[in-house]
Amino acid sequence: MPIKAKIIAGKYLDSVKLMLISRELRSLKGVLEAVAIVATSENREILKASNMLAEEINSASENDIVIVIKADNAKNAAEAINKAEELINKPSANEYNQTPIPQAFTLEKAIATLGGADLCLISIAGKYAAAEAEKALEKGLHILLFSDNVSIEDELSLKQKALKKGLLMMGPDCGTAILNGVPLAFANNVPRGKIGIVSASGTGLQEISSTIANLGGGISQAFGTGGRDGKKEIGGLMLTACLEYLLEDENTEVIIVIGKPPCEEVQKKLWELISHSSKPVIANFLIPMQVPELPNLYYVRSLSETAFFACKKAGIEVKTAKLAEDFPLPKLRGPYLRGLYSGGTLCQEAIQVYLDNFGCEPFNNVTDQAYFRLTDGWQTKENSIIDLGADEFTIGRPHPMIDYSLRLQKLAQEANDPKVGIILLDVVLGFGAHPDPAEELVPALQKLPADLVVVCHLLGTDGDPQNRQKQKKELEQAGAYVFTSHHSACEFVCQCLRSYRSAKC
Amino acid sequence: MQRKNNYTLFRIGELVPSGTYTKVHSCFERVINFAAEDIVISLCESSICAGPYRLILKGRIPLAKELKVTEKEVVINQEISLPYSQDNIWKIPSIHPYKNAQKSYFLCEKLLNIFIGEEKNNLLSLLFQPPSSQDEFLLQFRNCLIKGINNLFQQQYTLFVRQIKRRGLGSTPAGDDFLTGYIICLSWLIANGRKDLIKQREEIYETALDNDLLVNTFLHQAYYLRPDDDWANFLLALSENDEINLTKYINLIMNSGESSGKDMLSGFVFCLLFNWFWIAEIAKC
Repeated sequence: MPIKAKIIAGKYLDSVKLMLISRELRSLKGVLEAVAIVATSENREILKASNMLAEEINSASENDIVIVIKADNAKNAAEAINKAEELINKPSANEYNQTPIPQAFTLEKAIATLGGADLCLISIAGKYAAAEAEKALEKGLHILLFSDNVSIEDELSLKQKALKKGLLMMGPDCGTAILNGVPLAFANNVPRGKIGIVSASGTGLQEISSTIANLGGGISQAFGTGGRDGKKEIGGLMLTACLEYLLEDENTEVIIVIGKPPCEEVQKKLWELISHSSKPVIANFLIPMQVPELPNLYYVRSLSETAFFACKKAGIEVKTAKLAEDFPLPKLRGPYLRGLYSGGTLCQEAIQVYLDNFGCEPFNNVTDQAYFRLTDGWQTKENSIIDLGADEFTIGRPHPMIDYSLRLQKLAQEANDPKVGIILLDVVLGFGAHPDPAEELVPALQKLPADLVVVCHLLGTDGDPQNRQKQKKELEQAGAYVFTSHHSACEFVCQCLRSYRSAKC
Repeated sequence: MQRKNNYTLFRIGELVPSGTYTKVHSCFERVINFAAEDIVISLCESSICAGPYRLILKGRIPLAKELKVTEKEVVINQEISLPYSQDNIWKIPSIHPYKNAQKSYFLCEKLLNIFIGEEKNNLLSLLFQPPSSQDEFLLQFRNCLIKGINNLFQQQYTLFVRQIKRRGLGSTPAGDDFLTGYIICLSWLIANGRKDLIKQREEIYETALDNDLLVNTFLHQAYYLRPDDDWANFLLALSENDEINLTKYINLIMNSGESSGKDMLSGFVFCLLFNWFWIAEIAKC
């Protein structure tokens, strides 16, 4: 096997960058092993033991970086060396020669620099977030509080203050909003339109707004409230304020309210507001529940149907075919499902669809029911669906919508269990999400056993930066069943499981 | 002549010595290191945390080739003058012993779980989960780590260091960062009363010292327990049983790529693991 090496003198690179370069080189055609290291005598010993000590390295000094490639032929080795040089010399966004991004170190300076700013997105450690939000409210700014770990007392006080000033206080732990057509935090490229959304659920808002866009509709405003707004302690302050706004908003013809079920008092406030309007309001609290019989209030349980129904009410001509892909049922190799989610609400919906189909929850890491709760998300069993965006998985790493490494490990782990017949994944596109999920997923999918069925839900729009059609095509070519409706993906999985169980009876 | 500039000195470490430094040791994206006798002084942008030998500027750093430090100002390239006052001087927080040994023990256990169970891309997980057979370099590096650890179990500290030092990826190779983290942990345990570890620390430190000033600066800080701000807060969180801050500073350290925070934390956690029996005994009290 040809081994080629190249010395890069006078460069300092951290281990993370060298590791990433090594990884990228290994993915090149014909490359069997690639390392980028400092040529210390100790590292040379390791290279020797790995049969990778190329002659060229003899002239390197102890502080030089060396790239060593083992490839199937000399041409591929030479190409990999060229690529390595390119990667090492590639300037990053922070290099000196780039135009500096305007920076401000105080809120006052930021307001002065931008001129006319009216919203402040806060994403700092929770313990400092409330104080910054208060300052921003004092300056007359709406708030999107992305930070979590803000106390419920602070949340209440901030929301009360915001309402007194006629301002929005979205959050804490608010990951998505679309205001005046501008996507904030994790959001998708959605056209403007007649449907308004109030949401206490991040991926719920993304799924619904994207589906509306894919069906030909658009969004007037999409407010996030933070998951605790519907609790008794907060009293639905933002849920009701945003709903009130949308009920009065001339550009909004249909309203969607989504989130975990608010407490009874908050529900009463919502029904009261809706009863004084004739605008259609579609509620989805993610579980089966009774709502009052009001002429303009509709209760829908799936995210896709919520979007579909809202479009219908807004007079948008849609075809149901657009909502669901149609695949013949594949034969499963084993009885169990493993769901590996990055979106919390999507995970909740998947659990609910399973419950509706089979009468009990799958094992999962988000339920309140002790029997079905996995104490360790790594130890899945039987039928399990896990939210990899839960706190237990996100210490020390970016959210799984951005960083797929954890999910890829889990995918490989689940694939090794011959009793696992089907794997369900969500792939979230949009601003803030991974720039090219297929690039990460396709090589992993190609390594899976051929008889393991993988179902992907692809959340996003054709306007998203990742190119939805390209993502869909690449995932399908890698053997995945790709659905653009989450509910349909979950139903498909349940049909596969049912078919397996019937065949075994 | 010094010109007006848009740079501001935000923090200057209390141990930064006065002098003129003209030898650039190394350049990273956000840090320029200057050689200063037996250590390096680092000019950093504000996303890097403060430290005893660091100068932190607000925002980006200029392409510095010369650094002059006096008691009142810092001058870059003989033209950018950055005056500072006492308020800008960053002092090393006092790393006091832990308040409650049992609670600290449980936090250490949590830390171990993170490193061995959840967080997979670190040197400890490399020990517990061998890489694929194609990753020959990593496999060999892992063999060195294992040999070194065997030496450690036989109290052959010099051999332990020799198996790990200057090996692995990175301009400060991962093995050196691992050893730095290991020494930080030893120093913390010694500060908490483990006088029996002093000899081990001496031998490891002496053997780990290198002809690379950057590595030596980290080792020096570890030996004298003069950590940078994130590490100081991490140790304080361990001492004060503050789980929220512990998680926060683990994240901050692990995401500090240029200083290979994960490799250092791996060394720290491994040192805790090696001294587990002692910690477990305390917890039983």
